[in-house]
Amino acid sequence: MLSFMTKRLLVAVPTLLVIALVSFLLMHLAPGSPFGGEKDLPPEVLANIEAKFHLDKPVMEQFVIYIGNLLQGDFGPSFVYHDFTVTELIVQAWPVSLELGLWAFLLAVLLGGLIGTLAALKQNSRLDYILMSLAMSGVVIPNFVLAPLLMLVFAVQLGWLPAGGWNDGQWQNMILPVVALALSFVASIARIMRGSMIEVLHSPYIRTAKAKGLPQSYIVLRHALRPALMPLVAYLGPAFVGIVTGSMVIDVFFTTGGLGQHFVNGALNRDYGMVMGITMLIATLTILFNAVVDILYALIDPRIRHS
Amino acid sequence: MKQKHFVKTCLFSALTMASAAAWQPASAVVIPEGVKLAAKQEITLNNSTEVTSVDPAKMGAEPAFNIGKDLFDGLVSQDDKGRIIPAIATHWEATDGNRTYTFHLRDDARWSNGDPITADDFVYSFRRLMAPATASPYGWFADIARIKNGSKVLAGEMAPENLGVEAVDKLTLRFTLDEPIPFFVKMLSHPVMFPVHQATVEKHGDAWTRPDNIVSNGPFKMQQWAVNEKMVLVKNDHYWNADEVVLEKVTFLPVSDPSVALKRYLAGEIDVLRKLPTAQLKRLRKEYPQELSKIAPSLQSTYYSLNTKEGPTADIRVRQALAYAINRSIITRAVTANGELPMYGLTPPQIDGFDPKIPAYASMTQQDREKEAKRLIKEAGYGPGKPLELKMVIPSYKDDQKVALALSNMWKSVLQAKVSVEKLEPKVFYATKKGYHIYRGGWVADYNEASTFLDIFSSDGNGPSQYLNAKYDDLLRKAKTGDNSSQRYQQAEAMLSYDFPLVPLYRPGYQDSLKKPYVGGYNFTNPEQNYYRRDVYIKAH
Repeated sequence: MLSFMTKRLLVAVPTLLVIALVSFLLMHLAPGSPFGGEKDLPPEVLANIEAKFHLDKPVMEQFVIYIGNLLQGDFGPSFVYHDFTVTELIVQAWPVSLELGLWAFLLAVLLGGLIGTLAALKQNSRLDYILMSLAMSGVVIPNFVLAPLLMLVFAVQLGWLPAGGWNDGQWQNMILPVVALALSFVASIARIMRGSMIEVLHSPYIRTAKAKGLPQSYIVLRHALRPALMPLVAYLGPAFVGIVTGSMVIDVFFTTGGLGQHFVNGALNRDYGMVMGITMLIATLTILFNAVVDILYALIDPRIRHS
Repeated sequence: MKQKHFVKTCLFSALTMASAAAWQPASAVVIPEGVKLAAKQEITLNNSTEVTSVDPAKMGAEPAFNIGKDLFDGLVSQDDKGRIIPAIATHWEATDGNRTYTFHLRDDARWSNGDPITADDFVYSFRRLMAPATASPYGWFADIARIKNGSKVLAGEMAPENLGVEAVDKLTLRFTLDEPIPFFVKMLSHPVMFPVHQATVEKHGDAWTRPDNIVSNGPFKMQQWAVNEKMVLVKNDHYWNADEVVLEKVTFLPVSDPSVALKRYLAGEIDVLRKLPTAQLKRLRKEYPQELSKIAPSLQSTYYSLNTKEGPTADIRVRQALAYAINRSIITRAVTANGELPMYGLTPPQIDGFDPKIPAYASMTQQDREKEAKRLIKEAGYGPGKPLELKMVIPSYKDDQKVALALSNMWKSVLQAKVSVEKLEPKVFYATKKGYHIYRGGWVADYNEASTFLDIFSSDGNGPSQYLNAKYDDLLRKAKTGDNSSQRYQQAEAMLSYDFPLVPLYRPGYQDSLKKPYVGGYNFTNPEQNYYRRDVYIKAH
């Protein structure tokens, strides 16, 4: 296991470097400037600003400076938010997205897993159709439709919950964004879980267990759940990274101050520093959680562990 | 109505200085007789987007300027009609034919940490604003004020110490200008020209604006800044006019989508909402008539620039025809539909010191304009055998798309023109200066003077119309620095209405906004939309 992890880490370094280089070049190749606006800046003003951000240097030199800073844990300055460095903005925004994401992830896994399992157990029954219709509606209703609907009903009409804001993570402020964020994941998880559970339930060893007269709950929990989780785990690794690194839609609708808005606005505003910072964060987390998924595979499936 | 003024002392010290002396009363909150104040003096506003900086030297757009006016105070300020009033300076004189301005600072002005505000603070702040190392995105604005050696300092050709600003003594500040600028004092009410606390900036560097570090001098000071969530300001007890400030807390939200902001307003989380979603205006007017509040016409202008050097629009007759063929009333009534007013020139007529002359085509009927447009286009050689083909480029904002569609349809119907509209992501749009015939344009006044608009089409404006006219440049230069400005601005505007490097479209009229009935003193009457929370109070409700 140790050598496996070491190998994964060694591969991660060049992977991250390639991601950094490609993102950096793509960002700088994109037309438009972070300092472009309705009125052009006079050349001397633009020159001062470009010099401050090293944009007066060749792109590869800028990349070397960037990597040099990155190795010291410095993501550099934001090109748009002049009062903060990218590291400071990420440190402020990520805990918000992380907390929202963790709750949404937990809700999605528990609810999605339960719905998928129940639907599989009652395959082709009325319950199956109802549950899967609900799951499908979660897939087809995007969160940019769901979020304003939730705001309208629970904040504007009923006045039960705040329509937006984070308020240092008050639970009332979390409910609507967590639900809006979790729902599409609930739907996906339920569908994956149902499919894999049905497949497992049709396996010969489950048939044997049934023939032995074991109770259904025991069969599901003891024999079917673990193998049924395998396809889900493959989905959950990248999904986890996606859910905890923020959602533009959730941040925009609920003004939570999370990371998602920074990423999209960074790209739109050509905030090179911000886009690079979040890209590197997501890339690192993706590599890390793919490794975690591999480890989980090994823990769940002894065949993988032994091979 | 009999009004109770909270002003204990007004500044009526008679001044008989050379040239222009100022002794208007300072700002003061005015609470009508009988109005009871709420125990909790707190307000939440939407500021449309997150600010890029609250450092006066690094502010670059309206949301930052809006907060800057609460956090900082300059030499002068504005009242609710946009008139200049004293702030840190009690009075001032212009001498040497508007080449030298001397400001006398109040002796009770303090920073939020209790330090006195002196002329040296302003000297430091102006030098910092124009120093290349600061890389101020609005350094060009200070250069318009023509402070002596400003251009050279900005270009790094001269040390900031050579800038024409000096502390004569602790409370006297003198500016020397390269050219006479009659509107110099007006420019000083812009937040970019506000001072910063030297010791704090030097101690914390770029981090000086964090809530834990910041020292400011406005009616409010920063308590919390959660980026992309909210910024909370609280009353600054060291503010020189703190006795007149009623609000204890101001919260700014950076909600960019007007529909989302409206939901938060309706949920009771926002107290004043300036920008309403166009699609919901009718419903809001019907359902919330008691909360509707009109915003007075502001100094803005929306137009389309025409390429004067390449393609069919290089022909003046085509440009004229394009300007004539537009039915502006349809655009303002049916497309933008929030009280906008048709424009036939670039500069909003209500701007200070400008007496606009309505261009001849503005007083024609739409039918006559269209007839003239058809004649011009035929004369230019376009017709069924050779249709006019134009390429238009706009940023991908929804409102711009609607206007562009209406324009292209009008040109098609009147001139049989084939107009292809390309929508570009805003940052790409701003970088696109060539390759098209028609470009969406627009400007919001930085100061209340016609040059803030007319400068756009000067030769060094570097706009996509590529309009180069030495006579126009000369007129503008003379208008900005000499007497008889109004007439010269009028002539410059007339040149634009003849050459048509732009198609003027519309400006804001009285626009609807929403304001909770318990909010008092929030008057939308300042033409530059400079609203100061020092004047606002919350009624008992």
